This record gives sequence, structure tokens and C-alpha cells, in this order.
Amino acid sequence: MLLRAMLSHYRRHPLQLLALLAILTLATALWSGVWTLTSQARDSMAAGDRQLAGQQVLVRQDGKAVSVQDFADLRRNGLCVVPWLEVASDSGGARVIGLDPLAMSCAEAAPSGSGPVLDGKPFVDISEAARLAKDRPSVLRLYLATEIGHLPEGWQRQVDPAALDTGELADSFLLNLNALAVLVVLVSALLIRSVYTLGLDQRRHGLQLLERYGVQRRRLRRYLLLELSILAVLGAVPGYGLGLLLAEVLGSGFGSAMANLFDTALLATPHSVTGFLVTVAVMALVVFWCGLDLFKGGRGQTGMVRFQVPLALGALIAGAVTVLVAGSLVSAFLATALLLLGAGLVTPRLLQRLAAPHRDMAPLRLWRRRELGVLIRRLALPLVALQLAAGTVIAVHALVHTFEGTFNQWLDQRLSGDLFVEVPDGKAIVDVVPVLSQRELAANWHPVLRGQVILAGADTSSSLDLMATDSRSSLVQNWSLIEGVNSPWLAVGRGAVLVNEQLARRKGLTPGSRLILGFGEQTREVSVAGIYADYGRPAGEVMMDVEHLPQDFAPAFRSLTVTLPEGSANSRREELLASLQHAWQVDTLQVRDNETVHQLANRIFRQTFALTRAISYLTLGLAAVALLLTGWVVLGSRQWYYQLLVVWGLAGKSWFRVILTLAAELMVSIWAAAVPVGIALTWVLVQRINPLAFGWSLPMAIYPGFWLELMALLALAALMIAGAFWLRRPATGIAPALGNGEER
Amino acid sequence: MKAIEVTDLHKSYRTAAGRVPVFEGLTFTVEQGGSLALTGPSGSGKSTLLNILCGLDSADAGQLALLGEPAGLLGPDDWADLRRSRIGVVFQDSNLMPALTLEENVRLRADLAGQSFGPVRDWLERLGLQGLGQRYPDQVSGGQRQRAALAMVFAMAPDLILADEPTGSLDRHTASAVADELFRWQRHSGCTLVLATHDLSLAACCDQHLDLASGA
Amino acid sequence: MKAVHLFIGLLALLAIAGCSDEPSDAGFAGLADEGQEHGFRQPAPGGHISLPEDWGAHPDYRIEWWYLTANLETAEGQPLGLQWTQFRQGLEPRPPGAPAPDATLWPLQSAWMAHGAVSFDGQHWFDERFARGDIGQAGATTAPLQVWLDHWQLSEMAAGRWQLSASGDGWSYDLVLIPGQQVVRHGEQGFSAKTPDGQGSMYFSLTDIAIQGEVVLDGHSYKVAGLGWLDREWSSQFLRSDQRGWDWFALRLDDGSRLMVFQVGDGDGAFRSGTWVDPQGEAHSLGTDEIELAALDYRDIKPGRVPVAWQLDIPAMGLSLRVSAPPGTYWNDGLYPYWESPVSVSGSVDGSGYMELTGYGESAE
Repeated sequence: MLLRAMLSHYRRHPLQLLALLAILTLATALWSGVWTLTSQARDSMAAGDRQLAGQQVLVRQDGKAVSVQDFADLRRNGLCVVPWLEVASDSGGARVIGLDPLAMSCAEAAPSGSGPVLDGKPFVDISEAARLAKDRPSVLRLYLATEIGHLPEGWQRQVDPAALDTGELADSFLLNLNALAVLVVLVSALLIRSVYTLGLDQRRHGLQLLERYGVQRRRLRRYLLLELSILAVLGAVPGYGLGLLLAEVLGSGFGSAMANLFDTALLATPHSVTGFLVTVAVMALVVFWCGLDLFKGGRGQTGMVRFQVPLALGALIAGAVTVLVAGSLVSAFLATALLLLGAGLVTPRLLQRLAAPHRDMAPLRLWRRRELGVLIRRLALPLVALQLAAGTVIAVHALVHTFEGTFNQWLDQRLSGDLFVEVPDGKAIVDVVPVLSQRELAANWHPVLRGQVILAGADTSSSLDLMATDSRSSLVQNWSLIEGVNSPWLAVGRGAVLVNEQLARRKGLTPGSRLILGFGEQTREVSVAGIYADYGRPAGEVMMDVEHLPQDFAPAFRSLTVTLPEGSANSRREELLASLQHAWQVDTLQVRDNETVHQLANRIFRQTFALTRAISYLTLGLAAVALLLTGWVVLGSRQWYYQLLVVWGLAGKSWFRVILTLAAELMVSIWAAAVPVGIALTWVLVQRINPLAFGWSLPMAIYPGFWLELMALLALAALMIAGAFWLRRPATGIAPALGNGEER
Repeated sequence: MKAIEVTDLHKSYRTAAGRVPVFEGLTFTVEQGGSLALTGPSGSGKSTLLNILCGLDSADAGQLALLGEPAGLLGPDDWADLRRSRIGVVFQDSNLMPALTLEENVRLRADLAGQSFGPVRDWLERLGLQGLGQRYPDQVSGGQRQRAALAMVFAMAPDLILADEPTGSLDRHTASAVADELFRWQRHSGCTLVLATHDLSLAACCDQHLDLASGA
Repeated sequence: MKAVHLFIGLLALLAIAGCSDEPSDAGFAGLADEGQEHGFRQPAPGGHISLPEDWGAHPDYRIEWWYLTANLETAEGQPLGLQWTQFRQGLEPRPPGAPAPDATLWPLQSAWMAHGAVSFDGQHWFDERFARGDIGQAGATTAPLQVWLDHWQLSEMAAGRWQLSASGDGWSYDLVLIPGQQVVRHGEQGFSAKTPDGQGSMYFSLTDIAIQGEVVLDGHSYKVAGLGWLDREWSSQFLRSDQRGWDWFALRLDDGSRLMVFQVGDGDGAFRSGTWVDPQGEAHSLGTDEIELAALDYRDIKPGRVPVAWQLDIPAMGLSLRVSAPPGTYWNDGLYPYWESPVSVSGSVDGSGYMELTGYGESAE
């Protein structure tokens, strides 16, 4: 009976119940979805690590690429090496990794021990991968699967370069996602609490009545807590299911991003119990937070703490200082959290201060501003949630956009040239120089050689990617460098090298630094002439002039970059290719054109950020829905007063204008509060977190156009609120029901 | 001149149980400067009639002329104009915007009615609210709130006041003080008053009395 | 468990290699169930064995093996049994003379498997290795003879002098083999029938290979010497699915005669065949009717019940033999598990040899 009396509130306000359930469900879906994805990714990477645990890559001392023959020789020497043939992704697909299950049988911890691995991409039989490798870039690695004392002559161990770098990088990537998930949890907790306390507030009279009828307050609270827990379960269970679905939907894109970035395949791991437990724990915390008011016996209002402003300022200052000095990703995220916390605490106060009217304003305007102040106070939590979500969306948008822009520009520089022709095995570039010298066939060209070089360091040597080209080519000279000595290309022509940003950051290199590079037996000391941007991958790279490569350097990959003559027709391209084939005496050539490579790069790029974007937009959506719902309830409780304006003679249109203006002012306040958060967050992401996480920074850019889009979105929300009120106004008379009539 | 002329007014509500008549064939007139008390139990249609008299509700049938204007010729905007400057409405409670001080409330109402808000403070003082102008509605007593509500109506200088249980939520002593203010002002300004009340002593203060329970 | 995973991997491999018409339960080199033989050459009566060519691989046949068992003694006179086997299974037939596929493409025309085992003092050590063919990791060549998979290999050091080395977890051996001249061609000039309707394999053996060398077991080194028996067999047929498995015996008898007997299936439907090499070196083929074979005693081991003692009678030759395994569990617990043990012979004549029993244990169910 008591329960029925208590639940009668929801019978009268089914929408509120629905709203609470919807928020619970959506919030659970969002955070459990993100959690599932990141934990799946972690599991996959851990599985990958386990597969190759303690395994090292064997490389030839002469720096040449390893071959099938090398594999067979090492095996006949008694070494348990396993081949790993990695083939770059082609249009559409992810990368493919070829394994030899027969060869893996010698390794106790070989991938064969971890289940049926060859059940499709990315792991396929190595013969399949080899077939694909005929027309795609590929690399063969030999992993040493068991520990042995000595290596055969001509071989050396190398800790897997990919594993070393991408491990941290992938961790950073996932940490980014997890930080986003934490933000989602925070935002949704704010929302749940605000929707719940709002309902609670509305029921206060009824509950007081029950108390007056002799129901013990303790019992009442117990019932309320029980009710809240039941609601939490009712909302969280479908939410969890929805989250798994979300993870599945986002999973494929996420999987390709993972594969492209970190050599890690997203394995379909079974849904873990821990995932569910985490969801339950988060939900319990949120319930506890909501229930806290019940036990405080407070007003359950989104009221302000006395020390809110000093607290906010303290958090802002601490956050700002920490973010400036942060040396690790975790501290950068903590600092960001402090900044967001400070912003969230200070925003309602600040907005109220800004909304405060002058005494001599026109009375109706004065009323509107006062009413806005009330709304800001009563909607503080969902407002802050929406502010943070919108700020995050602004920042993520800026990051993605900046990256896209920078990346495209960089790609254009990197890919200047129309055609990229792979030099066939065993053929010399010299053989085609006469062809390429014909002005009517090729306007400009330069060779690109890729291989590996050893960077000798004080403690350990590591393997680096090496790229060699013709530094006099006008095609490379238009690369913009991040930093450089005077006339860097001249310096490169004289034997200096350029290094990519990742390597420069990792090794603390600046123009003028000196490096010791090992080419097989030979080592050479070179100076750094400049640093170039190299986005989208973790590996360190050194670039030098082909003229300065050692004679016996064996590149793993050689290609020619060719610019066709201005306005030349397709036939010219065919003619050039035919001439090259003739000169090399080959039937086919591997040719890629600029556009294809661009498309491929852009697709990889989009996949990488699709998830971040999706999550931030979903969070924004969630916050917006919650604001609409709570706004609806709060505005509903003030309906009498808005209706008073009608009684006082405000005609329909003028009345609608007043309500619309009020709603719009509320939305603009949120927007105005979100923009600085967005800008600050953009800076933190681009200048602080990105270098820590990925090894490269991006220029800071802001996109006011997007802010306007966001404002338009919020204006639409205002229109919806006002429209809903228009529809909800009583057809006749004035609504007799009064809520908390005497509240300000 | 007649301030209100009601002839054969019919009104019913559609409910789940069918149409429930509120009044059928209601006829009465109120002279300009006169006062009419509406009595009757809850649900007898007092509030409905007041709503119809200010254009917030409409009758099913019958004629209504208000302040010399036949209601049939009034559109929603005309009604809004009337309410803004000529018809003052006082409810039992919640007549004030909670986010505004008493003074700001009076000023807002006067401003909407096109009256200068110079005499606002006078109105508050005359209604015994001196020194309370800067207070918010929830910072004063119920009686003070109703006095402020009267101040708002007086400040707009209306031709007609519709009061729905204006003293219903007040204790007897305060109620009679508030009612005294209302009647004093009504007589002094010569505006017409329609007063819905349960309080027969209050009804007795009016020139005319219409008991809706009798279906007259 | 590893074996199971590998098996799955192998099946996936087969599917990937474009042999999706492969029966999903195809075994390896005759150790498991039947398969189809599309495109592979079939051995038939009238087939011919030519040496040394037939020491090498036969890519046009589906399955083949090089199978050495040896009964050795340590310097202290303790018996020590030893096995080395290398199997090849073709996944795609390659006609004679056709070029080998390009090794850089990691072809999968054939898969190789090697087994190595040592039985000593009631204990049994076993390991297996796998490789794909045609990439150099495993193979068999004739001049000079070389059969290898990883670092396990049988190779001809000089004319009439071979070396065999293999190692696994806790064991290794390094042996010198003197193969001798005597080649026993089984069945009809080497065509050895495996079913009554004429399916079979090409099969020849060296029955008396003088062996000496070193065996290291759990860190102890033993000098060993003795005799080995090497089977060379190739075919394109797996066992028929109605045949349970096979029981195979290779016995060196003290009267100087040699006896190879196998039965495919059991009971009345069993198909038996064998070769008796008389003390003068003359080989006599034995048919089903001439061989009586019955299990006398069983041993319950973890994988199942294995007949470890047999009564083997060849009435026509006056042989009545009791063949029995020494105490212990001689289970080659690999991807395709089977029993492989040294045996001692008593009865009408004493002797020693090896016994292979397949189709027992859980995997045979």
C-alpha cells in the first residue's frame, strides 16, 4: 500500500519515469559499450603480446630483408623461428597477416596454442598472404619462438620494433578512449542524478504527507532507495545489452583502426563478466550518489555547495598547472579532469552572474532574465553535463578537423607526383633513367628507397625505418619541415639526414643533433638537418639522400615517383609504363596513382577517428536528450507562471516569443559555456595529449563555423522546448495545479 | 452602462462519462461600478464563469457583452488586450512571479497595462507593504502576497476585476483586511468587481449575489 | 591439446590451399581415415621400384614415408629402441618433371611430418615436427640421399654410410648407419596390397642396417649399437573407413630370417600380408591365408586398451611366435597418436623387432 502510494507519483508522471529509464538505459549503453570495446581491444593486444611473448625478431646482420630461404636455413639450424608475413591493406580491407601453422608447432607458446587462429582475416595461411603480397607492400618477419644461447653467423636479435612502439601507442589510444568513457560516465551520472532529484523534489509534498501519516522516515527512505535500485536495474539491463550491440556496431570500424594503427587485430573475445560487473559497479555508484540526498535529508536540489567557487578556482588552477607540466598521459588526463571539474563547478555560478538583470531593465525582460537565472540554478547538473559534452564535441571536432587538414596537406607534400612505380626485384633504377629523362614522358622523377637502419644508442640499439630519395628533386623540396637548419635540403645533399617528429621527440633530437647509424657492418655518424611531420604511424624514420647510401645497402622496397608532363593524356601514362616495362624487360609493373594512395590514406584516417567522433556525438546526444527531458520537467513546474503571462494579457504570439527567447537564452548560455571548454580542451588534446600519446603534435586551430552549427543545434532544441510548451498550454482557462508555487 | 451582460449562457464539459453541464441558460447583468458575488460549492462553475468572463474559456451558447463589447466580436488578441489593460484577475494564490520582488511584480503588471510604474511604491505602501518591495514572494506572508496581488491589479487601473477566492487561503483576520482593501478600492475607483467566494459574509459585501448551485 | 589445435590449423590450411573438397577428417600419411585421391597417381600391381630414385620424394603420390626402427643396446647391454620417421602428405599432386612451386610464395602442395622416439628402460620419449614442403624446410633428395625436416635429418655422408640425427624434449640421438645392400621388395616386386580388391602401396625395406652412435636421454649419454629396419613406402590411399587401423610387425629372427607382417582391420575381415626373408636372403610374400595373428594380452594405458602380446603363426614356414612388448607405455602422443614399441620374440625361434599399432585409443573411436 505504501509502495503504491509512493509509486503514484510515477503514475501521474509516466513521462518522468520513462525519462529516468531512458537516461539510465542510454547512459549504461554508452559507457558499457565503450568499456566493452576498449577491454576487447586490450584483451586482443594482450593476446597478441602473449602470442609473441619473449619472442624476438631475427634480422640479418647485413640489413637485408629476410627470405623464405633464410627461414628454412634457420630451421635446419635447429632454431624454432616462425614466419610472420604482413601484407598492407588493400582497398577496403584491413591488413592481412600470414602465418604458417605447420611451422608454429615447434613453439610451445606459438599462436597455434591459443586457438584456431587461421579462421580468417587478419590471420590467414602464409601462402594466401604471399599471394596477396604479389601486388601489395609486405614485410616478412621471423620470430624466434624459443630461447636459445647463440645465434647462427650473420644473424642478430632484435626486439620486435612494432611490438615495442605500438604497445605504448596502442595503450595511449585506448587510454584516450577510456578517458572518453569516464567522461561519458560522469556526464551520464550528472544526468541521472539531475533527473532523479528533480522527480524527488516534485514528490516531496507527497512524501511529507506520508510522513505526517506516521510512516517512519527511515522506512520511507528505504523504500525510495529500493525503488531507485529497481529503476537502476530496469534501466541498466537493457542498457548493457544495447552497449554490447553498440560495441558490435562500432567494433568493425574500430577493428580496422586498431589493425591499421597498431598491428593489433580486434579479436572477438567473449563478453567478460568483469564488463558486466563494472557496469553494475558504476550504476551502484550513481545510485549511491542519487540516494545520498535521501540520507542527508536535504532538499535534493541541485543546490550549490558553499565553497563552490573557491573549489572551482582551485581545481582550475591546479588543472592548468598540471596540464602544463604533465609528463605522462595519465597526469595529462587527470589535469584535464580537474579543468573540467573546475569548469563544471564554476559554470552555473558564472552564468547566473551573467544572467542577472539590471534593475532598470524593461519589466518583462527583467522577468525573463530572472527566470533564466532560476532555470540555470535548477538545471545546473544537466546544464553542466551538456556543457562538458558540447565542449568535448567541439574539441574532438577541432582535433579531427585539424588532423584531417594537416594530414591532407602533409599527404599532398609526401605524395607529390602522379605515379608511384615499384621497381621490380632484381632490376636496377639505372636501366630506366634514359626513359625517365625523356621530357615528353616524365616531367620530373625521383627514386624512393626504403629499408632498415640501426640507430646506435648509448644503451641499446634500435632499428629504424630508412627512407632515401633524391634531395635535389623539386618534388621533395616543397616538404615543409617542422624545424630545420638553414637550407636543410642542401645539407641533406651533403650527407645530413632528416628525422621524423616521432623519432625527434623520442630521442630528443633537434636540428644539429648527431646520430650514429649502422648499415650492416658499417656505421656512420650523421647530423640532423631537420625534422619533418610523419603522421599516422609510430615508427621512427630517418631520411637521407640516395647518394649517401652505402654501396651494399639492400633496400626492402624501391619505387619511383614520377610527375607526368603538364596536361598529358592517359595515353602518355601508358606509354611511359610501356617504356619502363620494356627497359626492365618485365611484363607487369606495380603502379599506384596519387589518387588511390590518397583515398587509402584518408580511409585509414577516417577509421581511426570514427570511434572518437561517434562516442563524443553520442554523449552530446545523450546530454541533449537529458536536458530536454529535465528542462521539460522544470519548465513544466513553472507552467502556472508562464500561463500567468497569458492571464496578464500577453497574446499568443508574444507569449510564444517570450518562452522561445527564454529557452534560447538558456541554450545560448550553455553554448557560451561550452565554447571556452571546447577551446581549452582542443589545446590540451592537440598540444599536450597528442604528443604524449602519439608522438606528434598538431597545429592548434579553431573552427567557429562548427560552433555556429552547434549553436544552431541548440537553437533547434530551444525551438522544440518552446514548441512543446505551446502545444502543452491549456486550451482553455488557466491550469489549476500548482507545483512549488512559491519557489523562486 | 452595463459592464457585463450575460444572456442564456450554456457551458458543459466533455468527460469520459459524457457531457456534464456546468450551467444552462445563465443570465445576469452587472452595472459598471457594481459588484457581483459568485457563490456555490466546488465544481459549480465559479472559476469557469470567471475564465469565460476574461476570454480564457468560451461558452457553448448564449450571449456575452463585456465592457460594452459583444464577446462574439472579440478575437484572441482583443481578449488579450482587454486582459492586459482593462481586466484584472486575482487568484487565491500564486499571483506573483516568484523570480521577481514584490515591487518588480507590480511594475511588470503595470507595464503590461501601459501604466507608468511611478506610483508602484505608493500602491505597496497603501496596501501596508511598506519596506517589503524588495522582498521576493516567498519571503513574505500569504496575506502580504495577496496584498501585493491586489497592488498589481490596482496599479493597472482596470475597468473590471475578476477575483477567484482572493482570500481563500488566508486566515479570517487577514482575509477581512484584504477584502476591505479590495472593496474600498473598487468603490473608490468605480471599477466593476466579480468575486467568486465560499465566504458568505464576503459575498454579502457585494451589490449582487449569484448562487451557481441554484442554477439560477 | 596442442595437437588438436594444430589439427584444426591444418584443416584450415587445407581449406585455404584451395583443397576445400578435402574430406574434413582427412588424416596424415595413412595414419587416419580415408580420403579421396583425385589427381594422384595410384600404385598398382606391376609397379616398379628403381633405386636410388625411389629413395626420393614422389610428389605425384599422395602419401609416403621413410620409417626407421632400431633395436639397439647400450654399452652396458641394456636394450634401447629407437624410431625416426618422416611422412609426406601431398595436398595437390605434382606430375613428375613438373617444376616445384616458387618457394617465395610459401606454397602448400605438401605437408611434412617427422616423428622421433626413443624407448629405454620402460620409458618412452617422443616428439614430432611439421613443415610445409617446397620451401626448403623439409624434403627428400636422392643424390646424395637426404631426408630432412628442420634439423632432424637422415643424410648420406659417403657411399654406404649414412648419418641420422634428431632431438626433442629430453632426448637426442646422433647415429651412423651402414645400410648394407640387401633391399627387400614386398609383395609383387614392391607392390604391396593393402585390401583384397587390389589397392596398395609401393613398399621396400632395408632390414639389417648396422647402427652405432650416441643417444642422450635426460642429460645422460649412452653409446649404442645394434640393427635397424628402414621401411620406404608410398601410396595414394588412406585406409578405408571400414578398416580399423593397422598392426605392423618387423622382426629379426635369430635364425637369420626376417619377417614383416601387417594386418589391416581386425577379426574375420582383416586383411593380412607379409614378407618372409629366409636366412639366405630370399623374400617370400605371404598372403592373408598364410598368416595367423591373434592378440594374447592387452595393456590398459591412458589412451585406451592396446594389445601388447601377440601370437603370430606362419604355418607354411613352421613359425609359431609369441611377440611381446616390454613393460611400459610406448605411445607416440602426437597429432595422430599410435603405439610404437620394440618387441621381443619367443616361440619356435627367438628374436627382436618393432611393432606399430594404429587405431587404438580414444582417437580411433
